Amino acid sequence: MNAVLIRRLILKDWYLSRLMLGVLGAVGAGAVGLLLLRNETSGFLGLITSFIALILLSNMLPTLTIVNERKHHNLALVMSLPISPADYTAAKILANVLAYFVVWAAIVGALLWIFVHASGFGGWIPFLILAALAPFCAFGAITAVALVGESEFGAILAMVATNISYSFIWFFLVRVPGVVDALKSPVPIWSPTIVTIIAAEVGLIALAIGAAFFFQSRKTDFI
Amino acid sequence: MTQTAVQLTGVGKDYRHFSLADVHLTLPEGQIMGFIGPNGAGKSTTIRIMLGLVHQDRGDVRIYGHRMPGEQAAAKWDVGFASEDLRLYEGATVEWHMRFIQSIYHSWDEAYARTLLKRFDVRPEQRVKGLSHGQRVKAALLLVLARRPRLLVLDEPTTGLDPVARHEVLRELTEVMRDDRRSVLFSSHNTQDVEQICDQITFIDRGRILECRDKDTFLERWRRLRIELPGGIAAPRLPGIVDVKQTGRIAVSITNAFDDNLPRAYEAAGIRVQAVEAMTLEEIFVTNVHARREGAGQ
Amino acid sequence: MPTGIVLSYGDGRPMYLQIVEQIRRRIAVGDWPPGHALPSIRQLAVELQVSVITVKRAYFELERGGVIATHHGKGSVVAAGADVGTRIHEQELAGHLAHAARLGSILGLSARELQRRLWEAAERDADALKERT
Repeated sequence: MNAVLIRRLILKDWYLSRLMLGVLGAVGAGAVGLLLLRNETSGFLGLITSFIALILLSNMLPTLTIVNERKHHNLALVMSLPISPADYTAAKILANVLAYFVVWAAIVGALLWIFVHASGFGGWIPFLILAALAPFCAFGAITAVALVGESEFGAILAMVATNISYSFIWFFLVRVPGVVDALKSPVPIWSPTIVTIIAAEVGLIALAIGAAFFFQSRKTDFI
Repeated sequence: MTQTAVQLTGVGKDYRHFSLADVHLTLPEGQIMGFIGPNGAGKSTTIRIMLGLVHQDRGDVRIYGHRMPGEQAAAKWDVGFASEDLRLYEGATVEWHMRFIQSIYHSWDEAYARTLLKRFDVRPEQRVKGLSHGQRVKAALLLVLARRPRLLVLDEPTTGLDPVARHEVLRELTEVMRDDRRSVLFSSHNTQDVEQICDQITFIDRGRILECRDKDTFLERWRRLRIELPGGIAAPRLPGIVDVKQTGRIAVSITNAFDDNLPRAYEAAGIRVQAVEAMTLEEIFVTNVHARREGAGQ
Repeated sequence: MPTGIVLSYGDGRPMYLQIVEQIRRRIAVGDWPPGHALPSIRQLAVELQVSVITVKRAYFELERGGVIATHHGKGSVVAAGADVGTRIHEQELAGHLAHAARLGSILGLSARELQRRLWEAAERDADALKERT
């Protein structure tokens, strides 16, 4: 694996997605700002907007770095460089995961900080983490499908499926015993249910990345 | 010691509607090879196999001794590739692409790159989106030429270019020849380009190599003979004759193994040889393809 | 140093022949005197934008005709010998006569008719020369 080249490829992807990253970062910052106004409406709006930003990012980052590169025939340019298909896969996954993580951690970190310092909202913290990991899981799935599937249609299908799934997940989540009650608590309650779900989400993300690496390595035709 | 830049042995690749089979190709360093074939013949597939972008089903592929596709990362340091489906990033400028390539290859020659910008009439600060097709092709070629790779593999580098641009590209390709350790392989529809600058020529049709020889042999061994037959007889198919077309007493025969014995053989059979004509590469190629297809019962 | 040779692509003749002829011409008019060093095969190929193999062929033909001499490792030079100029012209004339004979045969001219045409051409050339001087 050529670390120098992988680094250059990652920087290249970040440079080419800079506008989208900047806009969504600003949206996230604005959403967090709304929460600082400390009233119910703005708080609610702020939370929703944060999630929309994370969901949008989960869709657009793989689209820009993977789907569009193939669609606009830029892939041959990248593969003409002295890299192996494994280098390409590593660079793509790292570029996506790192970028997503940075924006995700910034937004979620800021939200958590606000909740930690707001009295009486401690119960929201585990739930927030649980909910915030959902777009990350979606991102993992979309990235894996976009990379391995090599088709724009496949990626769109993954995006639509994950976007629709949020409503279903929310529906089932609020009916899981203990989840909604934990919200009312002024201190964070880390029930086994919540911890399990969080662990499962992190596991899903790891699985998506692992699957992407695995299936990419079995390909014989790159273009 | 002359190294072999490209070596394909028994290469094959199967797709649903198309198969590449039994491809043997050798390009010693210091030479320019032209790769001619109709659309769908397998030129692009063969080139992609050379670059390791497509994994062959059978056969051995070596670029400067590196086995492809396994050792493609090492091999591609010495190879420059340009193709119709290799496009630059639309949102970025030509300058950005130059810096990007320069950051990877230490052989980048900035002075030469600036010269090429002028010769190709491309402004570096322009976004790729705003360039015409011809300028995009030239920009992509610039990125490949400016780092002076040992081997240039180009898939139809002059297709779609206006005559001036074509001339500029050919000029830069011949410049590569200054160094007898550098090689070029390019595919083209334009047989004139190939005839002009290539040392070796490979014909490909329907996934199979028809002929792979140095240019002189092609141009010296293929001839069109105009003959006059005595009344009533059909033109004999002498050895080496690939095609004969006869109407009445006049016939045109084409051979791919011409030497002075052939006109004598005709004369000995009582047939007058009116003229012996050289053939252009295009004529040779078309005849070759037709003869093969007819031979295969098409 | 560029040779200034210009090739014609519309011309039906092989490129190596054109190169041979152009070099001969320069020798005949004295631009390239005996001992003048020819560019290397590669250099000329790049200058003329033709394949190396074409220039190699041209140099081979020139050497065969005794017009140039190649010293291994040192490149080619115009052959010494005062009659190189005439030898070239002799070769050229022989070539033209052979070609004329072939054309005459194709046109179905008799040897006598062909002779007459040649005589007429020589007369016209002499008249034109008289007018110029």
